[in-house]
Amino acid sequence: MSLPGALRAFVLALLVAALALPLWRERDAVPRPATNPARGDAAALLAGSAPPFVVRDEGGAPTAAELELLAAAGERAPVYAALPERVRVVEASVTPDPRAGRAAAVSFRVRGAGADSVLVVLGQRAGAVDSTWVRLDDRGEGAGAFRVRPATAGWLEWSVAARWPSAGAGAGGRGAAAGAWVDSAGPPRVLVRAGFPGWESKFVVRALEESGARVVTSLSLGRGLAVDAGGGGAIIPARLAAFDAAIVLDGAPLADAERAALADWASRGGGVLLVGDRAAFGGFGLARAGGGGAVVSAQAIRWSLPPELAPLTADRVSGAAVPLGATVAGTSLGAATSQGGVLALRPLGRGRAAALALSETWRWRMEAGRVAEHREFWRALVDWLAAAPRSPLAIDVPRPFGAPGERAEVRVYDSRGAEAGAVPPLVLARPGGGADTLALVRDPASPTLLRAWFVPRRDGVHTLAFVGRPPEAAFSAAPGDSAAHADAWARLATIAATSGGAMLPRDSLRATVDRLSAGLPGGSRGVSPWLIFALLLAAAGAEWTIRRLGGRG
Amino acid sequence: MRGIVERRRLGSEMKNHRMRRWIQIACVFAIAMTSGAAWRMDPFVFATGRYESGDWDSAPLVPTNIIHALAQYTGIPVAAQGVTVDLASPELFKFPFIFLTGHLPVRFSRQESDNLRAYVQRGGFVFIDDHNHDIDGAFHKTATSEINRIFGPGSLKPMPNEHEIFRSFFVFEKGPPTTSHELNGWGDNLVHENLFGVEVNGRLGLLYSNKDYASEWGYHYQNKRFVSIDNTRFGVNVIVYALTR
Repeated sequence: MSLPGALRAFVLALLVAALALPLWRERDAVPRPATNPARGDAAALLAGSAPPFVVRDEGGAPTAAELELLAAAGERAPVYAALPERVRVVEASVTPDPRAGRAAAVSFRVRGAGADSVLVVLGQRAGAVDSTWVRLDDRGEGAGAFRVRPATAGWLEWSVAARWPSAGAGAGGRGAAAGAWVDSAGPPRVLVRAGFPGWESKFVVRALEESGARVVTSLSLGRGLAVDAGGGGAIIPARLAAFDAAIVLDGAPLADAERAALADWASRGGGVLLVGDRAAFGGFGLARAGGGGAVVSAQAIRWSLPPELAPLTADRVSGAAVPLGATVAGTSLGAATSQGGVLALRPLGRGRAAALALSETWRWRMEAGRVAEHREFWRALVDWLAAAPRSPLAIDVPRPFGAPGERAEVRVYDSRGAEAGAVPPLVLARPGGGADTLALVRDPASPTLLRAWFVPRRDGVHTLAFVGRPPEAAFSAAPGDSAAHADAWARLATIAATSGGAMLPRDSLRATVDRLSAGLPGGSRGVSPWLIFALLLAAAGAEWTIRRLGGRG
Repeated sequence: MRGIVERRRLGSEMKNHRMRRWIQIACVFAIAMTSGAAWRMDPFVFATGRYESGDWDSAPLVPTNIIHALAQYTGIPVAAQGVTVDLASPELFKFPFIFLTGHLPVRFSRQESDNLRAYVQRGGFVFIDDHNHDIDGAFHKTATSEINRIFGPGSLKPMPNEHEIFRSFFVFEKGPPTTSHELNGWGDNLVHENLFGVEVNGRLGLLYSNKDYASEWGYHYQNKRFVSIDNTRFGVNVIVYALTR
């Protein structure tokens, strides 16, 4: 090869190198974000140069190992993570200690896109048992409850899942689980003191009987006659012991001794409902007498009930009522109109008491045709009254779900009085056999509260009982439970926030990643490869020009 | 002159009659109002059903007689006057007890049929009495046909004579009390052994009778003093049953 030829080849090689240099430099020197680092090389994330940011766009809850990795990565670079699926049930819980055959409620909270509606489905082992639409507020949060009536005693679990209406069956968000130990009691036994028969007494009794309650009616017909000899006697403590709830209807006669017996029985675990002009009876601490009789329109009633209670419907129905006056401290209003309170509820000692101003609920059934709703209103009310724990020693597990290895708390409420003696030993029966006696520690701030802790070692239902008694509470240990998931998401949000990143909806996360990537530096800040390329090009051009001018080309 | 005196005498009797009636109504009302602590309770209202076909108003004295019996024997608050309500009207549902009778063929309109079905299913109580006491009569044939049409074929069944309704206040050991009209030479001239009923969810919602209680109770209640055994007692049982079951 001649000297000019070699010179040309050299210049050409320099030109090619100058062209390739920017690409090489960019690939080699520009930092790239780390996406879903738990799936890749974790060591590379934590060693060497830090990525500009870390992205996690998976829909599932992070595992403990992933959270540790992200926490470490968050020390070096901001972490951006996708929020959980579009809609998610973040919490579900059951009325404490529901009783078999009686109403309880599975309450839930949902989070998703703001101002939208989601279908929330309640499931049990056999499949879906109920569903409801929930309208989310502007912040994307919603709440609701399902009333459930456990058919069997023992440990029961429910699942609550949310489904996005337009996304098909498989697009449901992650669900939550709720569970409770169901008392062994059967349907409620109710005593109805009704005075002379009327339509209200007839339809209250019918609603309760149709819903499975066992009802004894105390009706007088005048002239010394009673409809039911078994139900016509006086209300005395011995008789009340056979019932879970008692209803005194509007106008029903109630002697002072009977009133005192009812109040005493309620304070020891019974449930008493006073209706109409009986609602202001003293001794129950419910409400003072109102302004006398009135006609209340169904559409004027504003309901604010606990989830296990059912409201009457807002139909074009009006009925007689004796609106309640001012409520006594400790009483909450479950329904009211501008004329006064309609339904007052309160715990009374270990029992419960309620006052209902409406004395013609039968009109909802007959005039509005709301047979099922009327039945549910009365049954749920009686269930609520009858759900108070009778035993002065009650076991409560505040969080009945957890993972093996996590510490669980047990509470015991002791209302037996100072002279009752020591609390019997509390025994934890572990799944698969084996039992431990838990050490109860009295809460210094609340002398009636005792606490104990235990650590479940394996999956399964752990039951709790006082020695010599049947189980009264339970705890279910399972990996990956909803509480753990909620904690994992919460921890991921903390990691993202403290690292300078954020948790974003999936679409926003994608846009943010694009924006951040576009703003990343292009490479070394030294001499630009394009400048070198231009200089070499100029040199080549000069060489060619010199040759032409020299006539040697 | 004699005519004037006669008219005055008749006028005076009429006045006395009206006054007596008002006093008696006031007594009935007073009995109801003072018979217990339930002074504030809405009283029971005896409602007679008015339907488009037939003669729904063939027994106008029955309501007053049964109201009187209720006030006489029980402490149940009772309105001194009954009401008449159209079967096709939504007002029907304000009166959970209703009495129907007649002689003539019955054909319930669509609205009447719908209302009756809903009324019984919601818990209302219907008492239908065949004023002809004739199982071959027009009322019986058409009324039973209509009942089976509205509530389903075979829904109207004979009731056992041990049914609770025969013990809800007075005790009728042999079932429905016989009426003096069953063997009066009119109708089928039979003593009808059973009443019939339609049950909804195990409860009697419609009671049907061929015993012609509409005639048996169709007299002025003042004349009850002339009967050895008050024949309206079964009417009390029917009302008490409707109010309590």
